[in-house]
Amino acid sequence: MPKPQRIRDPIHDLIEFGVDDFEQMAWSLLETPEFQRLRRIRQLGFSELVFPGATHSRFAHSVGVFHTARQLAGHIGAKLAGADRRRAETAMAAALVHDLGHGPFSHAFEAFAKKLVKAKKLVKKVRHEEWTIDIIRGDTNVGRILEKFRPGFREEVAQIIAAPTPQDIYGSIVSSQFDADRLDYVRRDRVMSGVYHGVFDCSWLLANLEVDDVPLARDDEPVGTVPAFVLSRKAFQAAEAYVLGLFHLYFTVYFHKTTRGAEKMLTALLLRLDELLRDGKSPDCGLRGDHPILRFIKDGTLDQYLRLDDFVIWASFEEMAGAKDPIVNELATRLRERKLYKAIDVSALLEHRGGAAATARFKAKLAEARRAGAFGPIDLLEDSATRNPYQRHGFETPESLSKVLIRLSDGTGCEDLRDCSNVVEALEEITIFRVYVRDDEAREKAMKLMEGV
Amino acid sequence: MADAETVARIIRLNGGKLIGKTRLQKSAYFLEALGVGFELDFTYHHYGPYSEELEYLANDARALDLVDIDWRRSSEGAKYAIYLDRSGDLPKDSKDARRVEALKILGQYSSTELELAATADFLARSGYGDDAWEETERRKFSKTSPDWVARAQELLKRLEAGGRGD
Repeated sequence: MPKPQRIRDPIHDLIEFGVDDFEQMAWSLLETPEFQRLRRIRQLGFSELVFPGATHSRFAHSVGVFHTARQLAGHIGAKLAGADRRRAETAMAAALVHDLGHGPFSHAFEAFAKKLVKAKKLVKKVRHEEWTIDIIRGDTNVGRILEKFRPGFREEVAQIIAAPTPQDIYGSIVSSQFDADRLDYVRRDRVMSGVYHGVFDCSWLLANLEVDDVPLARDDEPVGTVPAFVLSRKAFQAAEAYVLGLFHLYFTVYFHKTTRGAEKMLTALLLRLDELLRDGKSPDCGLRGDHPILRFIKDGTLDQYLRLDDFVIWASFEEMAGAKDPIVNELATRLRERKLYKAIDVSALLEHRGGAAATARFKAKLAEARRAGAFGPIDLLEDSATRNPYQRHGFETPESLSKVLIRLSDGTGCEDLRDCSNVVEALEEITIFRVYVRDDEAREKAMKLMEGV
Repeated sequence: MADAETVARIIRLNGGKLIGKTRLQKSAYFLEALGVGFELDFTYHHYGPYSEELEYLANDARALDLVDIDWRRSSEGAKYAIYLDRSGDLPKDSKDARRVEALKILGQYSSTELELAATADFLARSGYGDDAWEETERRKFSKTSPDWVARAQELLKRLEAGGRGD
């Protein structure tokens, strides 16, 4: 007999899995090794070095996203004539598994994988979305469960995750300005990190969520109309707070200089392991030859990737702290003991001394200094990051399904939040550029470069 | 090694003007694939191969007045960028002639066709091999009308004929 299941969650309270086939299938996904691995991947990676409470896992987040996706799908079911239950199931399953492909310390590991791909190693994938798709399509427990639920289901789930823009209202549950992912992580990351930025009234937003036909355009080409989520005018302020809150979280939590500095140190450490392997000096790295990190660098397979998680990396610091190689030794020891590089926030320091042009000139001087051998390989680590407050995937997205849409005051139609909110319209993309320095000497050299830019 | 001048150079070689971030990204991608690039890294994003570094360099180029960006809005309200070269004298580069040749070919195709072709090319190099087109069509089913796919495949063949790198 199928049995209902329950999970207590700090954000959503009780999350229940019912006895119907779909929810039982969703529950069985949680029990797979691929899903259990997410318990060992922290949602915010090194953020806990700054916000000690931020130790929550991608497992908890994924369950929260599923719960939120189910709420959104419920809205569609209740408000859209001819709602498609099968498509809703695809979206909810995609929401549940969307983070399976995250590597340890996501961004640090992706930066490392990018270098491996460039060096034409066997590693072929960088971004977690690609690994997620591999897990869904591959010879995995998750893949088998999805396929068993309904023939072709796993491919439907893979496609909704791989799609560059939502193809219908169900796709917007998985990826849009108002997707289940964001609706969960903005709340979860705020609560767990302990900051008070990013507070928004989610209940009010959901209570004012409607479904309506809106014009759809792709690039410059009008396509017709599609059903989409539209917020009633009463939720205008809540929608503004949501967009603004997400933006603030980037600069207070996600882009925190200490977190990013630790990520850069980890990337440098992993790249050093690759160098040692290439030079036939892997015994100098302190790890045993069949350590999961080294096997991943050598083989780059999905199986090796799934053996990696935050715990494996943290445990490896202990071994690498005894490495013969001085770079591995230093970086592993410093990460383990939280003796991190110090940040120089170049773009902030130059904000009123020439702004972006001065920062660009600093970068050029730094590149020249590096070419001249002024810095050793790990003396100074560079970091660029950018955030557009209201944009998907770094590109302009005209698609109506990606936007936060607000009902017009007279109720006749809807408009993009950016077009009716002075607050959202005024938010501008912010780019940061920092360097992290190994010691006072490197700091002094970097500060010297900043003179006269 | 890419720098802010790289962006100005691509735009200049494209005739001094280049429309849209997608075209800038995919043009840079194909120059890299043809072996006449600037050592930019590309990773797979939802819109196909994408270089974060190029995005930053474009911002730097604008800050240094090497390029100008004219923001326009399409009839559907979408914002898009027109990049204009303002760099003045740039040092000569022996690869520029081949770059111009490639950019001229790319200029005959729409941004959507460039995106499809770049995606298929990137996937082929990322382990999908002969299945790259099938995978591209699965990922971009909203953008894969038979006409677009045929044009994108033709583009790759033309670039291939011109000597594509590994």
